[in-house]
Amino acid sequence: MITLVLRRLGSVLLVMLIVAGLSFLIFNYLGDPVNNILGVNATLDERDELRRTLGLDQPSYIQFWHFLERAVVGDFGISYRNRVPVLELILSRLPATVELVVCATILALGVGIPMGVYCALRPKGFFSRLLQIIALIGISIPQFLIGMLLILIFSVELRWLSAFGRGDVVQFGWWSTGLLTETGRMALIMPVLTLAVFQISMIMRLVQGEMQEVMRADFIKFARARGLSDRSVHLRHALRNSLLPVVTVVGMQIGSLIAFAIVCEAVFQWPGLGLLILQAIEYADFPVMAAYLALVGFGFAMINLTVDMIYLFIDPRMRRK
Amino acid sequence: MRHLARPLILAAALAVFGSTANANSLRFAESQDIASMDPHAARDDFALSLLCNVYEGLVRWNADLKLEPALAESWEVISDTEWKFNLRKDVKFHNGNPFTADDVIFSYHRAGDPGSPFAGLLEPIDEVVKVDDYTVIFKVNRKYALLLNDFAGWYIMDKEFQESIGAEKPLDLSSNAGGAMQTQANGTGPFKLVERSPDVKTVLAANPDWWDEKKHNIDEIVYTPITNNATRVAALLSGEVDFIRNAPPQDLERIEATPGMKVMRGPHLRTIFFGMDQQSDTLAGSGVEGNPLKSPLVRKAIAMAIDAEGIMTSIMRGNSNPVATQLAPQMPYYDAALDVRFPFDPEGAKALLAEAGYPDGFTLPVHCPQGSFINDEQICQATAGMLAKIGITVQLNMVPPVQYDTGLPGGEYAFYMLGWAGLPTIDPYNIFSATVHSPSGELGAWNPKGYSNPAVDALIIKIGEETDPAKRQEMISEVVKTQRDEVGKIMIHQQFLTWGMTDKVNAIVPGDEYTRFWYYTMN
Repeated sequence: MITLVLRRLGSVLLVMLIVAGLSFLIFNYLGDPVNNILGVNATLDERDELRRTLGLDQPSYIQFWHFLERAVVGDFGISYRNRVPVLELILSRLPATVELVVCATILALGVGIPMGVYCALRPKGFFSRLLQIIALIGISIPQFLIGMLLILIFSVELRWLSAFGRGDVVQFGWWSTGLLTETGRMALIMPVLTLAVFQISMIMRLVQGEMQEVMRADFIKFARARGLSDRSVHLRHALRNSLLPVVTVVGMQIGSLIAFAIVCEAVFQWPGLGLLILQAIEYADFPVMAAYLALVGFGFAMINLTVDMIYLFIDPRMRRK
Repeated sequence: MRHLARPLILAAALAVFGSTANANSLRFAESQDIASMDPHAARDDFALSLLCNVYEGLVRWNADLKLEPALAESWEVISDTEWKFNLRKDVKFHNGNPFTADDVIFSYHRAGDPGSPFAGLLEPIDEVVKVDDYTVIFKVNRKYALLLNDFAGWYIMDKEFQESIGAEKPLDLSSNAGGAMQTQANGTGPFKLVERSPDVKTVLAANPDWWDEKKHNIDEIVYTPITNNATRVAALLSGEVDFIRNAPPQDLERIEATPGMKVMRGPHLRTIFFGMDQQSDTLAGSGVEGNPLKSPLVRKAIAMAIDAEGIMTSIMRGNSNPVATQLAPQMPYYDAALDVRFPFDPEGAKALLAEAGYPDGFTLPVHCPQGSFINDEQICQATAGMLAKIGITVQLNMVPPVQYDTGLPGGEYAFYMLGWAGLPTIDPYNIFSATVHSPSGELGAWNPKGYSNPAVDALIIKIGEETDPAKRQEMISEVVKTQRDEVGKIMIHQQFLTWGMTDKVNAIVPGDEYTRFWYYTMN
């Protein structure tokens, strides 16, 4: 068991190394930050000198080695653009994104599961057909378009909600939250909706499919034979048994949303990780990009590791192998 | 009696209204945040265009882009290499510290020492000598004409304050020191920093102790970066912001059609042109022997094939002005007699190509930025179509700005779009030294493998030294004429600025794009 965990941890490290290494290869094709740091009027000599100072004149593998040397002691360097330590910068942007993603996921679960259950139980009903069409639309419309439509309706025409930003936030140490202020909660509405539409549709279809499958299983027939109420059969037996894949997929979705809520954050000027990485790419802010990608790799690897651990506990057969 | 009563009632009404009305808050959105509050952190006109409200130089540009005294009351040229500046005595920094000669000397070293981004700007200065608290002498290493122009872009910081927060150096990417200037600022300007949360919001308030006579009536400026163009316009239309600079061209009509909104336009100092490789002996991918771009005939043919008027009407929707030279009409030393474009004449262009030995044309790799200049991609696409008509097949490469700004000075492109405004110097010398002079370590950074003429190079150096306006005009016109006749660049147009705002805002739209809020008023 312990050797297995250690082996898995070893592969997590390997994943992080490969992701960071790939990011350094990409930097070769991204341009360099010298023009942004010095301004257009900088002379050729000044550019070359800064390139030397930053080590950008070195081959990628040497830059990568220097990055690793510092990263092992937790030093990811200073952001070229924001001029603060990268780790501090990433931590300061993390709460905005986490809040957005968690709210969107809760909304998606709260709406998507009941919709899925309804459609599974009455697959031929008119209302089910309608929900399925809506879900299809929700999956097909690009996030960008949903966001712009919401802004057009609720900001420009009705003037109810703010088109950009996070409203007022309250600080708890390094964590910031907009949930405790009126403007903060109002600001969440449109970005959360935008992010949730796809998830709602996905969860609904997942639940519907799984549940229809489970409803045909023998133990449901036995449950009915035992004379249990419809409510108990549907919710306690069928739904429970169809939720496992939903939990797995939603878990992975949360990870990828935190890492890549870029479109939604760009549309609503949401000051989270997505906007940060977008600006870092535009500026060629290599320290931010390298650290961000390595940390995202770490996050995904940890999620997978946790899932594997859970499997070990659930399924004793895997432990014996 | 009636005549007297009316103004009295009006005054009374105004007094009541004035006491209940909210403070004038100008909410301003831009596509990105400034990198920091440090005016020495980069020679970056985008940051300085906002920071000019917080910091001041010894001199400044006024509303008509003429130089006027700011922190220096007066100056005199003692000799070719010595300039004496008398500093203003009644000036205080925002934290109450008095402004003295020590701050000028500190700011010189901070901005100009080797390794600092402004070292290139302040390079002509050898030493700054303090005569007394309110007099300094700048010792210059050569005769230099543009000291005052350069000083308008070099801002003075408070020595004591900078030392107290540990931000004595502007560019220090190896330590945490630069971070202090993210959220702090202490200048002498008309507005002071109240609150800043990087990439989210920056709030400036009017400085009640400003030394100059206050003409604006703005109490507060709230600056918000909104990256997405459509969201930024939506924020203006929904009344959440009052002012956006550089409204996207496709949204101008919508803004103007909205009640209570307007678009203010003004000519930009920036002219857009194509530069090209005129040095290499071959042109990779052209499908012909040698480098056609070396031939002035070919360059002239390309210039004659481009319909700048058409680009103005169909792509720029009237918001441009076709030009024949790199100097915009608003640039000092502009020479209208030279601003005559080659005629738009595809047939004549074909004949020129044949004369140059390319009757069947050739393939031309063109590089174009995605979003550095207004409608840059569309202009490049239109150009490709126009050149196809004279037999030149354009192979178009669109490149994101950050890559473009690395690849272009790196000499990687054979034919490229570029725009130059001559900022912050606002003098032809800046344009010439960056984009016309042959590339050397100091000059010609944006003219890689490009136009090169030793006689023009020598003239450019002299233009930097000569102080007599008549002689400068003569030399500048000479450079412009030579380059135009030899088709060193293929000119397209001068951009117009299009700023969207609510009717409440009265702005000025200067050619250098700076937002000088001390000239703004709000109704």
